[in-house]
Amino acid sequence: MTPFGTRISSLAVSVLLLSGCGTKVTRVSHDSTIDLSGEWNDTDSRLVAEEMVKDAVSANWYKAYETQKKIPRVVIGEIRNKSHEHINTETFINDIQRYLVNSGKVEFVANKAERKELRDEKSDQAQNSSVESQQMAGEESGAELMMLGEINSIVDSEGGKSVVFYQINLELVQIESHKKVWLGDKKIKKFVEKSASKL
Amino acid sequence: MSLFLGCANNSLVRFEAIAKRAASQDFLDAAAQVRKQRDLYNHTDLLYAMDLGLLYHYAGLYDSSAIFLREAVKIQEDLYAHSITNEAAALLVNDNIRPYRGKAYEITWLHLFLAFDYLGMNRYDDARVEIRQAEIFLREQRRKVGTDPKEYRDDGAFRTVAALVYEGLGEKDDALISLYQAVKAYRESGQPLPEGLARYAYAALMANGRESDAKELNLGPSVQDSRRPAFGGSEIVVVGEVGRSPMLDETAFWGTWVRDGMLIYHYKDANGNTVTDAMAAPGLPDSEYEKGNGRKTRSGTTFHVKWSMPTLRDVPSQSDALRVARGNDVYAGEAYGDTHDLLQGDLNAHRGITLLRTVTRVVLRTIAAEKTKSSLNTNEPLLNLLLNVGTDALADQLEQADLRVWFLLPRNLRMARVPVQPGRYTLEIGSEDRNGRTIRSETRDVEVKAGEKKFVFFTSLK
Repeated sequence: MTPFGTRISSLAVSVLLLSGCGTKVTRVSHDSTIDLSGEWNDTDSRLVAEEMVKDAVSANWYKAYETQKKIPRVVIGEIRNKSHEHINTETFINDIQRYLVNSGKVEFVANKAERKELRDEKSDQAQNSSVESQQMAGEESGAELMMLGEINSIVDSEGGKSVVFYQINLELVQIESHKKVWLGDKKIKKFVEKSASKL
Repeated sequence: MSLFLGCANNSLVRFEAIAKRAASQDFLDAAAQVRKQRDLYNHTDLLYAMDLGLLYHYAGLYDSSAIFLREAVKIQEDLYAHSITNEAAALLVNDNIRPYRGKAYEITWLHLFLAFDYLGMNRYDDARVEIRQAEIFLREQRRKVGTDPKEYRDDGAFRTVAALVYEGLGEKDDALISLYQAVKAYRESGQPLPEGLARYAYAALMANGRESDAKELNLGPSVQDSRRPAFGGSEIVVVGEVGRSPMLDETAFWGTWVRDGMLIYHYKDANGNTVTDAMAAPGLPDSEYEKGNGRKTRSGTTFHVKWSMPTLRDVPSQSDALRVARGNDVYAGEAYGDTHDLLQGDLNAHRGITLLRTVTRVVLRTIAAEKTKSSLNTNEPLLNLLLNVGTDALADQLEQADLRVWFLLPRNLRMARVPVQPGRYTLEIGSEDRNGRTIRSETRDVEVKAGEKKFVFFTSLK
């Protein structure tokens, strides 16, 4: 290669190297699995919700409703994060609600905070809306079951290696009798390895 | 090369610019300075996030504080991987070009202050996440340092807060285990065990079938006091962030390096006395041994070296004690954590390794400077003098002690525990100097639910 050619090649390599320093964004499918840090992510939330909903609606408690041709009304109670990570339980709850509602086997009623907002709206309508369009108070559908749960984790680590074990427990409780009609759990185990050195 | 040179150590400039504003309680002004003087945080992204987070915490902006402190946690985790090029550069220049990874106690306190932020926002589950992350960090820390008694292995202040958080969440077993660990941490570190903690731990352990734990910790019964909190009961926990943390300053070291691998060095101690010590310095390269066939060797010759090491410098502040009054009842805040002890412990534990690394670097650089001088020698005496002085000055300028430390932390973490029935209360919270004079005070209205541990934060750095 001529000296000029060598210079051109060096320049090309430099440009290529420098171009790698900017931010690069690639669109990916919303249900693709991408693990970066090994922490709880949207894939965990989605898979756990999907599997637990399948388990919940195929359990014995649901058969009683099926034989009576009734659709149970469920309200989401507290799903607590007792793990070692900041997990947005709202996303997880939304995933569960979506799968249950889309399955057509369960109806959801608004939770405590949402009900308060809705009642405020009705009270406002009572004063300001026309009689024909007004939504009436005292016509709410009461939930028969409440879903409660928690996310737990155990971490075992040494140096840059760690094993993270998540256990997600959900339960459905009859609001009237306080009977637990379904207990479900899902476990996830991850092995995370961090490199101790880099260039 | 000019990038590495600076007239003053950035940490000292950072202290002048930020810490003084914080000490006058101008936390948001100090935070604005941090943002404005981002260049003072070269290789210290961690400190940048920690400083901003802590300043927002002191200002009572717990949501903003949590954003920066969580960013700091993320940075610290990402720093697990050491950059080979950076480490090699640090061996030639100085330790300040390595990214700051935080001292072990600072990482625990990072999670502790994040837990405080969440407690301040009544987000107890999130506070527990931070407690659990600090527990994982401390478990790894103990694994790393083994049984070395000089190393930071556990943290009594953190364990006490962990016990209260678990207790407030109704997780009795975790609360009792944390109480046990809290007492053990004070016993192992040799720091004074707060009397209130000893009394509380004894009562809680005995009442919950853990007599053997109480016995192992050598805890005994004490006089019953109706004003003391009961395990599982509701209470207001006033956390006082009182006084100013010490900072790091440079101490000059000088000595004679003997080429056979011995360094005799001197420094002045805190009383101004010159201390002399010796250590094994880096050995001879193989090329020197190969000269055993009659050629000239430089083994046995000596030269002078000088460097500086970080040393603790106390920062005076008037704020010393915490006092909380509810009506006629007055509660004194007990000291649970002291950053002076923690920083001194860190310096003591790492003094040997810092000294060895610094000496190795200085010796290598001195040898390089000598070679440079001899290769640059001319027939002009004046020019030789200038070149030699210039080379020496350059080598000296490169060496700077690593003075980076989270000096915005309070000197003392004090806690006053006020047992209450569920309801609304007005508290008078104040800090005092050593003579009992009030430095600053605030009135706070606090609402407490049944079984709740309501945390209230009070900062007095003045």
